[in-house]
Amino acid sequence: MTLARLVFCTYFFTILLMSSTLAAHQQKSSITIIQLNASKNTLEITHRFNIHDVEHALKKMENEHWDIVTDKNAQTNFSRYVQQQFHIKINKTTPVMLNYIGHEVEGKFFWIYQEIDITKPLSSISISHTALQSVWASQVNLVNIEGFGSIKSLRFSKQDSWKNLTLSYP
Amino acid sequence: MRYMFLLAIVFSFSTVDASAVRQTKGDFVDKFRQLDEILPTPNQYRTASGEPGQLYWQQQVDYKIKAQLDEKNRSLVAQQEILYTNNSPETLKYLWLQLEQNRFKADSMAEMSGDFAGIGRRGPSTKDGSGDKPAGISFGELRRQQYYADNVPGYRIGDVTDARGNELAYIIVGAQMRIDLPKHLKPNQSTTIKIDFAFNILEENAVSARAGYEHFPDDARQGGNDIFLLAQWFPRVAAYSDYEAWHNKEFLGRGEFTLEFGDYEVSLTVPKDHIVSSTGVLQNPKAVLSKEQIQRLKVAENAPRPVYVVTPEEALEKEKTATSKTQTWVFNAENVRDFAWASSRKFIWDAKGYQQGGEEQPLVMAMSFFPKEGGDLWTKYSTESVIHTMEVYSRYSFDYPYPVAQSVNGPVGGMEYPMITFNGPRTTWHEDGSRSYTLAEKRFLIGVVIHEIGHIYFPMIVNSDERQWTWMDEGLNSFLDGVAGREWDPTVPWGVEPRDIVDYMKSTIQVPIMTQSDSVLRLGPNAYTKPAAALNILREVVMGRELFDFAFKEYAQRWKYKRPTPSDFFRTMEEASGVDLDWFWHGWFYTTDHVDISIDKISELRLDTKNPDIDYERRQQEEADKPTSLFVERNNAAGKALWVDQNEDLKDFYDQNNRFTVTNKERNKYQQMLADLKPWERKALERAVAEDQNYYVMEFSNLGGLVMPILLHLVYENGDTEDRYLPAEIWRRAPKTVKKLIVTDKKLSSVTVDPGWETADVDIYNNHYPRKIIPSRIDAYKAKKSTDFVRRDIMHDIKTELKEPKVKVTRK
Repeated sequence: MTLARLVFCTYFFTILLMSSTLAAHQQKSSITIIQLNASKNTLEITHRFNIHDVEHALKKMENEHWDIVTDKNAQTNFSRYVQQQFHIKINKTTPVMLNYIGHEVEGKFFWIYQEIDITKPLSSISISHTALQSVWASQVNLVNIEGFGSIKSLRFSKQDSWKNLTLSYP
Repeated sequence: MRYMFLLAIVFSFSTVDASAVRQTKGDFVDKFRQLDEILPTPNQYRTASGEPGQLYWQQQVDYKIKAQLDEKNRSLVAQQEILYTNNSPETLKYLWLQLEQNRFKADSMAEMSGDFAGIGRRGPSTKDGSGDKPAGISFGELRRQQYYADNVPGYRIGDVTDARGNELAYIIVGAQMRIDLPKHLKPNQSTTIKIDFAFNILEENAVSARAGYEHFPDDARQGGNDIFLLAQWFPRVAAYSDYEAWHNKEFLGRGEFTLEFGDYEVSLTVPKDHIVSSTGVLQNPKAVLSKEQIQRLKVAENAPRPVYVVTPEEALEKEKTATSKTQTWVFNAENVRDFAWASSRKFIWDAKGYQQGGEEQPLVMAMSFFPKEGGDLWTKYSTESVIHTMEVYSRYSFDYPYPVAQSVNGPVGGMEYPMITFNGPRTTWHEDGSRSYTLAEKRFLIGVVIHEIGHIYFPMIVNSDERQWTWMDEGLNSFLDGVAGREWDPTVPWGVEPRDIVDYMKSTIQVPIMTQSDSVLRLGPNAYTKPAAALNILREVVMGRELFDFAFKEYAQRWKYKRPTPSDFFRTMEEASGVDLDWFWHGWFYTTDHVDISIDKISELRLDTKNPDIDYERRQQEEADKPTSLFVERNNAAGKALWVDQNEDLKDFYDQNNRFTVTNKERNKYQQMLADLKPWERKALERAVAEDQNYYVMEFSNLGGLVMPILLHLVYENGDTEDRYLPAEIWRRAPKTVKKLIVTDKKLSSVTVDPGWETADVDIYNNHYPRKIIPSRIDAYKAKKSTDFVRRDIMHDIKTELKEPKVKVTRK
């Protein structure tokens, strides 16, 4: 029988006394679309979060009140945070650098855009997506991969690490 | 061979279809099959029209409760008397009660089945170890564990007796309790049960309950103050229904509550300086309120804006001191399915009468209770949002039937109970002592108050089964809060647009809407967004507002104070509107299909006149319109002399008359054909030839599986546009591909399917004919420069002081 280690992870220190309030409104889920842009030979990555989640998450993470709709710093902070929580490996290599394109608030959603140039045909993709899961355990991040035949979906919950998909071009 | 055989058996088992009726040859799918086998058989309790039947019954459970709040120890002690009336045709030997406070005990099913680092877990986070990474536990989870070690959660049940004080046998199973009745309870009989109980009030922020206390350590009073929100705070008799008998499915934390209607008399003994907000009507205002407060409430009845019953200054003053005295507030509530309350000395209290008119409840007092932390945001918008909700919801259902509607600020993000709701958004404190709120927080407050007050209609009055079908209250309510929000200010992004749900609907990870609440993978999109989007589409696209609104109101009124099931909703919407919706319910609620309609091809056709003098000429023109041969063109360019030109003398008949030359043989045949036609056929042909319309055949395919109406936007060469609606029934005999003929006197230049994004079609690219280059979201973002002034932080930034620019010192 082995004893598993149970320690504080460093990043939890930034989260002061997390609470998880029930909100009939908070969704605690995000959607990411990874779309092959065949004409430009890029993979376009679009993350969509609910504003409601983002502002409350920032408050929990930073213990400070941020206005996500109006505060450019808050938007940049959250965008950077998500970029640190989302990683891709292509063809079973090490994680690739994703080009940051931008972020914006539109309606009730916060959008973050990233892109990768494709230099050789894709045979597989591995994804890790831990955004907001250290803030509230029930966060679920859904990823749709489009442009490689029928849509494929991956669902990232708290306990998931990397997930892999074999890709084939239509 | 043996292996093969085994495999085959396993395979056939795994594909067994629950449906008794199956297509066993070919791949035809009847998308319009009626829901015969899926819906329960109608009976005398629930009819085929979706109405309560002639013998519809439901139990009545009345409560008398005396509760004492111990502020110092944060605990509650109470004595309750339950009067249970058995209106069912069955004889009951025992009663089941729900003990939700036990959900927080270490031996509850919710706690024992909690998956460390698991999905869909409510409360603080934990992280599983993986590889060389250690497992993680957050401060929040640690706090929760420590809290449980220091505080014993759950009910302490004292005496359980009958009316005469004789002890009753009972057993507690997790968060449920069965009380055995000494005498069987026959139909139309009542019995009284007395239960003494107590429990430690949980710290909401530590354990993520739907109620609890919140501590404010920074208040002026030594030791700070608390807000107490009390819900699921007394043993409640489980529902007993015609379709499920005892609803004794234990509370696991998500699937909410299924309860019976009844009358309540509740006495709440709290510190003398507390203000209590509660389900029900205050019975002893003279004993607990000052003359001035009673006077202010009277003024509020006809005030144009909310009137303070307790002003911010008075509340702030109360925060500073404490008292050891208590007083008892008495509330009575009639015909409610639950009872909740809040108590604190911190509460500011405002009220405004909503003059609803009508016979049932002409005056409703809309009231808000909030600490100074709620600030201006609450003063301005809480009570007004309560009234706006009633104004809108009543139009779609029935007059608000209770005398009060309340919004209380505390530690709970948003939760509903009869006549009272808990709502979380607040202002932010700044170092200069001022308070401001973000634009998003303002929207959250208005949005959450509308949503939670809306829940008083669904499911507090239209009493759907939340534990089983979360969508029946969350979906209907999310749909209606979108309606109310858009009537508040349409520039705010309220509600659910069909486009919001497409990314979820096209994913492969989802369960049908018709899934029990505790088993749903992602409750947000499944129980809120998708059903709300479905209803929106039903109203705006499929049925139209007039039919939808009538049927929806009929549903609400039929099931007011009663217990509807999904089939009652489906049947009523169909029966009251006269629109066959089985295909819609099946596709949207019972499957995980999505909408993706593609326009694949358009063929342009012209009617043949049969007259050779016209048709042969047209054929000749068609031939001439074809591109000439490159070979011949190059020969011409090279100046090649043709043999026929050099030998003019050898030209004959065929050089003068080409293959399109009409002879009398064809003309005679045409005349004979006309002569053989029946008069009406001849007339039709003559008219068609004279009008010489354009005929277009459009080919569509259904790639997503979900059948929907096809919304067409036609653009003509002359610039005219036209919208056409092809009902979903076009797919009834060909669910995968259909063709449509369109006859027009104009020339068509392009066609778009669903140009307004109204049907949740997941692929916009194949909605255009001819295809268009559609920029991806990223392309569009790159192309646009953000100049959005709405997003500036004005409320706080306006206080920024002017500063001298820093001068950069440059060394010489």
